[in-house]
Amino acid sequence: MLYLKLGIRNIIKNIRRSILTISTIIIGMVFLILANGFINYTLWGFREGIIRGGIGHFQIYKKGFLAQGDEKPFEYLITDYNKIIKEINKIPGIKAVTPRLGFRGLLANSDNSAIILGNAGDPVGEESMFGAFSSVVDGQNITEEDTNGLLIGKSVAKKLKLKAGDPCTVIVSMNDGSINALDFNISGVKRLVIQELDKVYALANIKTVQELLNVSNSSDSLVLLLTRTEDVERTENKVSQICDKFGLEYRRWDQIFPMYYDAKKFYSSALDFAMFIIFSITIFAIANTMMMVLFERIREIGTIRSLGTTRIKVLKIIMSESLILGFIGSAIGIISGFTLSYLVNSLGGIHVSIPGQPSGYQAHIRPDITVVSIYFLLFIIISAIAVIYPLIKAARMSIADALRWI
Amino acid sequence: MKRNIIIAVFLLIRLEAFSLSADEIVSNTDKTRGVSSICELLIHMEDYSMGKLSETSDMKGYIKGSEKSMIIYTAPFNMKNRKILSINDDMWVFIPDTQKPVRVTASQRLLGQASNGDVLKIRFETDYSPVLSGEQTIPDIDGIKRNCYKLDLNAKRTGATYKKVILWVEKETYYPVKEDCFTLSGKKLKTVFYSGIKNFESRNTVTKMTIFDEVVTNNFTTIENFDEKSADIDDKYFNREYLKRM
Repeated sequence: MLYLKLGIRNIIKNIRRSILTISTIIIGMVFLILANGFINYTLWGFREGIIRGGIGHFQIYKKGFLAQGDEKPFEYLITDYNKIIKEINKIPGIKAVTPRLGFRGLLANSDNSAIILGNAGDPVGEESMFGAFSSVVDGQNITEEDTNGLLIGKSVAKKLKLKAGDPCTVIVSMNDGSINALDFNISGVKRLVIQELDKVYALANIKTVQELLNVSNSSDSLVLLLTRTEDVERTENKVSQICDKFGLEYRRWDQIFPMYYDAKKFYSSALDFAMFIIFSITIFAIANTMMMVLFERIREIGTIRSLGTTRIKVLKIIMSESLILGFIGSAIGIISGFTLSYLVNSLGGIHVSIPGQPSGYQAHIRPDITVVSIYFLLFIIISAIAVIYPLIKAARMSIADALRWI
Repeated sequence: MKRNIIIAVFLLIRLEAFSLSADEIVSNTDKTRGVSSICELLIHMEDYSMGKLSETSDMKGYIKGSEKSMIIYTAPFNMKNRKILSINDDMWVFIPDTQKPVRVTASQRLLGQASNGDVLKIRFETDYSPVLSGEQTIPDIDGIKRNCYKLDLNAKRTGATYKKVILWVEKETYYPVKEDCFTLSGKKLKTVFYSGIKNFESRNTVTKMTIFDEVVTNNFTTIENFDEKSADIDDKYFNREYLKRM
């Protein structure tokens, strides 16, 4: 208690030096919080971009579909999915469920034809779940009313010289091997990031494709979206129960897109390296200021010691002073860091462009509370450690030398 | 009352006669197409796109009834020795220098020459139930008017490529003249014209088909058979494992 009081008094006495030290700590803390917040948001956005870009949190298939579905797509369809959807919607935390049906076939107009790997979905459900992430470049997405609308990839459109509003025909082979065909209208053209997908992409109304393949009320997958990604683990059990009940199987989003972990590792290691550099510079600046300030005070230490204070007591006095400095600086740093993040976010964030996407995104700053509390502790410890070297040096000096120190 | 019965009986007989003759007509037509014969033949195929000849190919075919066939490409050079085996509804392609023939699924046959293979495989008698829907005079591929029976054929076997076919058959000779192929949804995919009647071992047979793509309307293909001769074809030709050694 005595040392605390002495520490505070010392800080107030040397107010110029204290402000110098504290402001170094504040600036360091603010930098770290902003960097951490930006990295955190980037990784969060990457994850949510994958999930809300169309994969969803869970996908449900008929048991065996994943292993055999490619060869015998018609044998692994979920029939009568409305019952299952009703059941899934009862799980707390579920935002929406939508059926999907893949189809392979030929898209043709009077001049040419192209192979497509089409997808069929419910326009209303898809729009509500993934709408914000679609990037239609010409025309518009498929709609509920326009049952024969077809959204195609840009490369497909280029090959067949199709644009929004043009008629075309989709030819598929049905379960029994016979051919079926339907006329569609191009409702829009979409640009996909992955070139290989762009060459074969097509999206149609699920009802129309069910008719085309002659499989009414069937889908090959159900896509689940949760309100929060953090709920995935909590929900998994219930999803698994429903799957067991109906003879289905499921995949989590990170199983469907395992590349996420590799990509995250790649991003993280690059960002962690940057973080390490920022951190080192900050620490160095704090330690430097602390040391400099202490060297200025060696005469003061000599005076204290000449009055009969033991070395240990001197150590305790100075230590408590720098601990308090560290605490105050970090606390103010955290407050200003969060205030600044809030300010940046409310002004619309930082614009970041993504390769292969027509429009970038606004990055926000979202610091991680756990990491920030670790910084807080580290800063206090470092403030204390930084004074050890000059302290030892001062303590070892004879009192006479210390008093003569300039 | 009596008169009504007589009319009814008369109608019944007439209907019976019609449906019987529809089956007969189709059966006769299949014979003129060489379905169910066992033979060796040469095939010449020409693909036209935008009115211009875009590709020609020559093949040698071994055919055993309506179930089994094996075709070897002899030209063009890049297709040479490619073999296509089809047994019932299954199809395999063997490419020289590879170890195993590759199975071609129904959805992979939607494109190009393979889709014409599905037209060649149509067997009216076994795959479809015919209904005689009238008589019509239509022009053939050369523009010559022919008196025809018009038959509506509905698929009776699952696996028939087209769910519905409309067939025009010349009245006296039972030669097929024209055929429209429809899908389940009612969309017309192909129109086929038959021509080139030639005598082969004391029976007449159609040797040329012109297939118009009704979706990619700028494309059509002609397929011509010649040098057809009866031969006893060994079953080993239709063995997948044997394709490599042949």
